[in-house]
Amino acid sequence: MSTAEMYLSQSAHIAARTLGDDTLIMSTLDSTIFVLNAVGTAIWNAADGKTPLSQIIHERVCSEFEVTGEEAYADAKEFVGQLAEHGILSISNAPVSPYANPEKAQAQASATKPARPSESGGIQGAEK
Amino acid sequence: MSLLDEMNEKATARGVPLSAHLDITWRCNERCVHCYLDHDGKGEMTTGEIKDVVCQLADVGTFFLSISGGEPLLRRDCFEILEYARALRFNVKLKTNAVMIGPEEAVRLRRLGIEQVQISVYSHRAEVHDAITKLPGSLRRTLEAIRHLRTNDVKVSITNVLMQFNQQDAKAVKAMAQELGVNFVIDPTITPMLNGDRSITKLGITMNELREVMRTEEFVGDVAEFCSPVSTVGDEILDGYSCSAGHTLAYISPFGDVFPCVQFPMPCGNLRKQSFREIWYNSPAFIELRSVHVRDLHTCSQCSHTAYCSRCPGLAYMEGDMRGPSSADCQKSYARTGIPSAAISRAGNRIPPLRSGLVQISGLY
Repeated sequence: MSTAEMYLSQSAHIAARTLGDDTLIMSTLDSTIFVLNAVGTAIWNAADGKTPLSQIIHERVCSEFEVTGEEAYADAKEFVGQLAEHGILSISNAPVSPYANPEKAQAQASATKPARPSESGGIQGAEK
Repeated sequence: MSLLDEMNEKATARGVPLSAHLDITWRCNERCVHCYLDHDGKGEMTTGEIKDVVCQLADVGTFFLSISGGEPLLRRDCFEILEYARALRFNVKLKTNAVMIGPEEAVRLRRLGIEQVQISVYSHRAEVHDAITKLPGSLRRTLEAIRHLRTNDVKVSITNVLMQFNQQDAKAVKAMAQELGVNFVIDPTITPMLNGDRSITKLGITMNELREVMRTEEFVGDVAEFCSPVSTVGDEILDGYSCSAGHTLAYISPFGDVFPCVQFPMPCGNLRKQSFREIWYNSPAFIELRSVHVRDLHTCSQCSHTAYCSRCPGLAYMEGDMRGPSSADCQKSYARTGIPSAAISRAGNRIPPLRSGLVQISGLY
């Protein structure tokens, strides 16, 4: 596992809604659509700018899904990197102020369905 | 299948209203000759009530939110409502005539991340557009607003509603849209007034004009493909629904009334008396609507156009039977393919005129 911690913040330039296990996200900058699966949704909902990715993996992914910490962390790094490339979230190596999100209860982890490690990549699909 | 189609399917299966259309006022600074609304503002929801509705929509899973009117910017709290909706992570579209959008408003809309501003433009000629809106100078102001929006990279879509007065200008409006860098949508349907008055539908284009529109490459793309009849109707179609109204789409009036769609005035409840969740899931009207599959439509299920018809259950409802055909859509299918719909055949192949008389509008110049 990498020694440098990663802190994730959701971008303000998105529209997002969690429906069951999936999260639908659309970039307001270029209208790219993303659909996150259950694991991606768990990470997304915990991306508050102050919780390190390793803690998110431990508390929201490994405890809920059938996946080991190392596998999950490697997949998650790739996943958050892809989202960051599209400006959907930002990654920093120190805690940041989270984007104000008054959405009730949506931030709670919605994942209940176990996923195999191969499903833990996070993004179910993306298209413009 | 696209990701959005997949999410729509999931929303339908889960009964989630993925899209909502919220009119925050019916008041308007224009008086369009074909408008289906009255413009009474008495009893409109307050800012607090509207925010509560928006919050309820987020709770039930709504993602796409159209803020509309009337002219929504006539409300002093319009930007406050837009800001609130964006803070709740809605994908927000604003439907406006844009005459109140100047440079500052365009910047604010850009900063808010509004997905699209939808604006009706009836003609490239001020004498035609302004005669339809009955607001002198409206075309000039609308076009200025579109330029401000585009300067700020706000996406804009122009809707060109076709009527007898302006249908000859549609190609020029499309060319203007291209020049402005905005999307262009053509709409040949005149919606009856929500109180059931159908007189404004007389303003619509004739069958011959509609046929011409549907054979114009600029509007439909590949004419041969667009106009070719498709007669295969499988179980997938028959087990499906005519449209998303009441399944993944809801309309909310400025007074808190909930309907399946703005074009489907079947009362389902009022948000001053019940929560949105209660109305959406328990209203007898919504439950009845969701029980109607294509195979339950007494005429349309037998029609050769069923697989691709744009049948609007709201227009059918306004004709008296939500399980019946919608004349406007029968006429569109006929104009497109030259094949009479089942409803037209049953009427002895008589095609009712799209407009039954001339309606005069007074010119402003």
